[in-house]
Amino acid sequence: MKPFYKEAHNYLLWGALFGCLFPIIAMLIELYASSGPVNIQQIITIQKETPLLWIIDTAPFFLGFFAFLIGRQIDRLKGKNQEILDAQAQLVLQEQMASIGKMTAGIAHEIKNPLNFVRNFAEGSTEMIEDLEEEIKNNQSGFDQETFTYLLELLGDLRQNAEDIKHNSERVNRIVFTLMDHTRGSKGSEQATDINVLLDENINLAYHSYRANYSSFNLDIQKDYDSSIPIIKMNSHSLGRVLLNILNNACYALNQKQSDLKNDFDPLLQVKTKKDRDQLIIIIEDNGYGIPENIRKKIFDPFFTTKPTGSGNSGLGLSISKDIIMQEYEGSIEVESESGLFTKFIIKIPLNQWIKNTSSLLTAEKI
Amino acid sequence: MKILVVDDEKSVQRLYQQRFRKEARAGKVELHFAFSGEEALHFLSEGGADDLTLILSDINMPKMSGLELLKIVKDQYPELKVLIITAYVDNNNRNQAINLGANDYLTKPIDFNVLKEKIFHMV
Repeated sequence: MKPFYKEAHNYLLWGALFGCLFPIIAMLIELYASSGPVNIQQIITIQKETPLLWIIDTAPFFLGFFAFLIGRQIDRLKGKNQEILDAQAQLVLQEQMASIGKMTAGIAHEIKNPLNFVRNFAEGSTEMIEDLEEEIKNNQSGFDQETFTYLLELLGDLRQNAEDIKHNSERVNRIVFTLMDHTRGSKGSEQATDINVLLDENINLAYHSYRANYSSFNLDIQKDYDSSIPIIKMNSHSLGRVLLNILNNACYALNQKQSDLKNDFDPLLQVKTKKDRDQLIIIIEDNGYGIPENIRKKIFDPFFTTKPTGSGNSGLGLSISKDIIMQEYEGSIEVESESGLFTKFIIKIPLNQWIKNTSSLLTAEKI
Repeated sequence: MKILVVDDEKSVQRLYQQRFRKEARAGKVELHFAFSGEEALHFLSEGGADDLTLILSDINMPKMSGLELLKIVKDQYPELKVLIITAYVDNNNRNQAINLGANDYLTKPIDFNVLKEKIFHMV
């Protein structure tokens, strides 16, 4: 309920009552002044003698009442108007997301074409270097020892170069994939997933998107990854979304604290992965402003946000994240925090949903 | 095996020649190139289709797209196998290609080991 003074029609209602009472009180005062204490009988007699007085007495009330009805209608319209404006803002946001999605798809296509040449010419070079190496070794007698060693050394370096080029082209490809995945909003498909790599990719995405907007934003990232976590054939798309969401929130909190405290504050992001028996644990902790205790319970509620309205935040991020972790991965997500000091998100996902299907675990194989 | 590669980027020729060098030297593969859908159709109608097994085609090309080419090829040379190789990763293009009769759909950057496997598995 809004306080009564927030709506115009309440003023009008009180105005109407006052408008009705005021002439009566005024009349009583006037009568008292001219002929002493007043009794009801006297008033009725006066009213009977001059019927016009009824109208004059009650008119302000009726006028006020009409004004009240009109005012109430205006308030209702204002409410409706706000709903329409909100819906419109939502549509604009959706439209923007859709066009960003389209743009990303276009950019991805333009990047993947040259990337195809980078990767495959590098791979082709590796093959050719191997052949060349073999040819030289087969004709060792044709070279003096020094030249022979030098040639092999050169070829070794060349092969390393080609492999580095290929490796880095794969990195670019993964970044494009992650970018598309996040804007496309699609379900994605099952892929061999290294949780540590997935976390790394999303840290980079979150950090660099903040860096792009706030060039002074600087972050110390401490990583503690458990390398015994198996590579899992899973649909990592949604998990990536959850991680990005939490990491974005962390960057938001750290950026706010840093812009308030400037050099007195060293933003720190700690990420940790751990395999605890059959459970995968991911911990993301920031030393930002933390979450006050009174709202800690609400942060997973849909539409709850502490970010300023109009900043494009729907308040759905954590609520969707919780749904994803609980429903899609049968896990849990918890928050620990101390106001002003830190926020720590703990995600726990049972690994046995993939271990059941042993072919999903590709421990030996690299992605 | 005779293969026609259709892509508007000229470097594709050097790339495929390098990556299929061993197979080409061993006489297992014979590569031909067309740099547009129109050129590919011209090649096919000039007798190129005779002992051709497979077409590898890009989608995004000026004028005739790979999907249009696919439709015409499947219409006129139904026995020819067509493999679409594109940088489009969306399901829309994939479904369209499969519906038009594409025998497979690969995305760039190409993994030539996978491509070779698919080619030799197909025939």
